[in-house]
Amino acid sequence: MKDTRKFIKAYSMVLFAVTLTAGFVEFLEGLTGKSILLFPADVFGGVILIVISAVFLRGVMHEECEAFFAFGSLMLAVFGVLYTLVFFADGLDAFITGSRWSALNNLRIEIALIPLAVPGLSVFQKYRKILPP
Amino acid sequence: MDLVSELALARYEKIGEIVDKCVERIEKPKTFSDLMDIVVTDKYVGVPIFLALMWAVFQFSYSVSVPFSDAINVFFSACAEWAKASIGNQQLASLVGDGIFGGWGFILVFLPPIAFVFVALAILEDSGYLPRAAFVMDRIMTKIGLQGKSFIPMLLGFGCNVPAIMATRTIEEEVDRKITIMVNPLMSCSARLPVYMLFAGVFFEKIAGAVITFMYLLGIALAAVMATLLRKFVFRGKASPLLMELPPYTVPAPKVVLVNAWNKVLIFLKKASTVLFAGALIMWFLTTHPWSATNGGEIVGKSYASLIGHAVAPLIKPMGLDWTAGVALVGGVMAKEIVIGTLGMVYGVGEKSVANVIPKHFTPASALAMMTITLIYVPCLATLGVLRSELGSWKWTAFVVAYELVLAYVVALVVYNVFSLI
Repeated sequence: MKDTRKFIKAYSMVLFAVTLTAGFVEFLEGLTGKSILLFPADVFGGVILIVISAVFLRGVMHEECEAFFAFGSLMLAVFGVLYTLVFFADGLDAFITGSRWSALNNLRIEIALIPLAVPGLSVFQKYRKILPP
Repeated sequence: MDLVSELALARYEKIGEIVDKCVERIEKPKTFSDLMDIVVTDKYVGVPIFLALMWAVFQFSYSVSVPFSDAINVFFSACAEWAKASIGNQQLASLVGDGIFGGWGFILVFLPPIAFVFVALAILEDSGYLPRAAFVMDRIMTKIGLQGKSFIPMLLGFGCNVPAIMATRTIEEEVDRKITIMVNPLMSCSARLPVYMLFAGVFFEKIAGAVITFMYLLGIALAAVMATLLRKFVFRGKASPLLMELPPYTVPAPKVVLVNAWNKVLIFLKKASTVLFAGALIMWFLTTHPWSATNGGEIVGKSYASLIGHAVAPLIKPMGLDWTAGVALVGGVMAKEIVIGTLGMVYGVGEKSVANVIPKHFTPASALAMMTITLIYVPCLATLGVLRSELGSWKWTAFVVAYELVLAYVVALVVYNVFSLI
């Protein structure tokens, strides 16, 4: 149990660092208007990643670190799925309207981060099974 | 401390002693909901989580629904073209092509984003998160003179102000209820979403989602300011405390979510087939008549709509808006969905081309001013009717209309001037 908590705290710190860095890159790019592959210039998208990083950081400092780890991972997955839907919607829209669309230019870091949410989602699922609703 | 407080304190101390002797406390087993509530109601991350989820709702509705809207757009544009090419009588061809198919196109193109908003809100509601949102927001709501229960009608206002105002009946305290009703029209209903989508999509393409979120946040901020002012200067006293039961979290059932969203979409469809369609036809008539003077609707500058627009134009000129915006805003009093359709008819283009034409009439700053006015000015006719019945007074209904008109003017002016500098 102690080892699991250690792992959760360590992994939360990794997710905190990754989401905070990605969030800042998107945020700063949004301010400058320049963007690089996987990191669109998106102020609000950046702020959302910073909020998710704050959830992981709060978990590291909190007694119930598992809850913050699970919920932070759920948010990471939700936004990853959301941007995946946006990715396909953009492609479909380009097909309907006949406009140009590049899959590579529409990929976002949030989609690439989905696999990192899997350990947190398994904790989420574990608690959903063992605890009463 | 006075005698009454001393007595109350002593009474509660005695009650505590008796309870301690008679009741054996056992530790309640922790539930999954308890665990999640630690996170979503946390004093540091609770509100940011709420704002992030709201942003996800609008990103989902705006970005994911685009291909569906475009498919509807393509379909009705083809129908309009077909009608105009096939019908010999020009006036009838214009009525069928621009009035009927064009009108339907203008309205139904916004069905997908509205449906997506309802689906997203239904997921949050069915998961059990929305009552938590009310709980999280209670701290903030109390500060602005409202209470946590006011939050649910405010949130429903994002869908439609009519059921939202009716939902204030759950607030027991009369003053809390009146204030909630009076600020509810400032919550951006789904009818205003098409206006934001069009202008944000054209002028702020890369950050359209952020601009739309800004408009929603602006509505919330203005509602907060107005609630504070009403509590301070009109209805004095403190907000009553929040008491509510939090349901356990559940995995949203697809059927429940879809039925819930469908019931709300049905309200939009009923409105679309009656008020909105009638409004679109009226606007077609105003923009194409007198038929000979407008040369069959080609010279909109000589139409009845132009007369109305030019009458309003001096008032909105300081915000960078011209007479065409004036016509659209007057049409929007009937229902906010009509604003875009009216612009399309005034510019004499199909719904597909409105986005191409508006950059000639608006700048990014004036587009923001237009969105701001649409957010704040007079509620639609249906909302006005419910305001009157729920407030039970013409005087208070007139007060709401008056403060909204003044507020819309001042805020739009500020928005236009600030963003003109950037």
